[in-house]
Amino acid sequence: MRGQTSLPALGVALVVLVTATLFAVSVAEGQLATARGDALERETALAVSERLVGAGSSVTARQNVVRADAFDGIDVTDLRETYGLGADDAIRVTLGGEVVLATGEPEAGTTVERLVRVQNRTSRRIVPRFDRSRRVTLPRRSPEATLVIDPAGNATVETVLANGAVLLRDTDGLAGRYEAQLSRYETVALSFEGTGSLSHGDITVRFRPARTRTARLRVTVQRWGDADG
Amino acid sequence: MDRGQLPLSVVEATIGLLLLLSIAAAFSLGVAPADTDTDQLEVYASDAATLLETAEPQHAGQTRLAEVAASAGALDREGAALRRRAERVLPDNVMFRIETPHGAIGYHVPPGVPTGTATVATGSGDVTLRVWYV
Repeated sequence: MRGQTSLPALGVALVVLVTATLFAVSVAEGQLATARGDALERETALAVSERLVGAGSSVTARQNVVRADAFDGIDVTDLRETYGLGADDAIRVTLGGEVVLATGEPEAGTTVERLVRVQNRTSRRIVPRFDRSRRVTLPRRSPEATLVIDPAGNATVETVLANGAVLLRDTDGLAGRYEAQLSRYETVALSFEGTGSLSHGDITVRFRPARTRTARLRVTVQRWGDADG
Repeated sequence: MDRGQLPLSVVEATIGLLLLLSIAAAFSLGVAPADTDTDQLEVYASDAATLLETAEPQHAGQTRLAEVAASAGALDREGAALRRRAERVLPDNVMFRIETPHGAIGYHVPPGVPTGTATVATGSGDVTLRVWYV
C-alpha cells in the first residue's frame, strides 16, 4: 500500500470535484443569464420609450411632446407589432403616474423614465370688434385657424395677412369658411384688407391653442423568461 | 497512510475544489451590474435638451434656447427663466448645468459624480446640458 492512493479516497475526491464543478457552472450560468436578461430588458424598455416619444410616433405631436388623448387610440397589440415587443414580455407604460398601457404585470423589471410634455389642444373662438381697425391679434399661438368671413353691408375683405404675409386673397372679395396654417413660432396678428368698415361679427376666428404641462413617461419591461433569474 | 499522511488524491481534490469555488465566487461577484444610473441620466439630458430646444420662442428667436444663448445680455435677462423651465422639466432629484457660449446657468458639477450630457447646436454656438443625481 505504500505510495499508492487508496481507492475510497480517490472515489470521494472525484465525487467532491464533480459536485463542485456542477455547482460552479450553474452559478456562472445563472449570473450570466441574469446579466443578459437585465441588459435585454433595459434595451427593450429604452427602445420602446424611444419609439413612443419620437417625432414619428402615433402618440406625439413632435419629439417628446405627447398628445393628451393619444393613448386612448393605441392598445397592446399595437405595442407588440409596432414597438417590437416579445410575446412573453410584460410591459407597463405610465404617464404622469397613471397607467396608460399595460400587458402582464411587471413586478420588478427595468424602468426607463422619459421627460415629456403633455399637450392639450382646446378650441377657442374670437369674434373681433374692429373698432376702426382691421387687425386682430390672436392671444395664443396656434398652428392652424379657421376663419369665417361674412362681411355685412358694403364692407369687403380682399386679402388676409398674417404678420404681413398674405394668407388668403381674392380680389372679388373673400366670403365663407377658410382654413389657414399659421406659425407656432410667433404671435400672429391677422389683418383684413378690403373696403368699407368691418364690424363685430363679420369675422370669426376659431383656433386651437396648445397647453402643455411637463410629465414623466415611464416604461417598465419585464421579460418572463428571466423572472426567476 | 500508516504514517498519518493525507491521501494525495484528497489533497488534490481540495485544491481543485478551492479553484472551482473561487471561479464560482468570481462569477457571482464579478458580473458588473449594468450602469443604469448613467443610462437614465443620458436619457434625462437628451429629453430635457429636446424639450428646451423645441420650446417655442417668446420673442423672435428660432427657439427658446437659441434666444437665451444668443448673447451675454440675453443670458442675464432670461437665464433665470430658462433655469426655472429646466427645473420644471427635470425630476426633483436631478440637478443640472447649462453651459452656453456666454456663460453657464445652474449648479456647479460636483467632481466624481456620474453625469448625463446632451449638446444642442444653436445659431450662436453649442449649448451643453449636464445632469446628475443629487
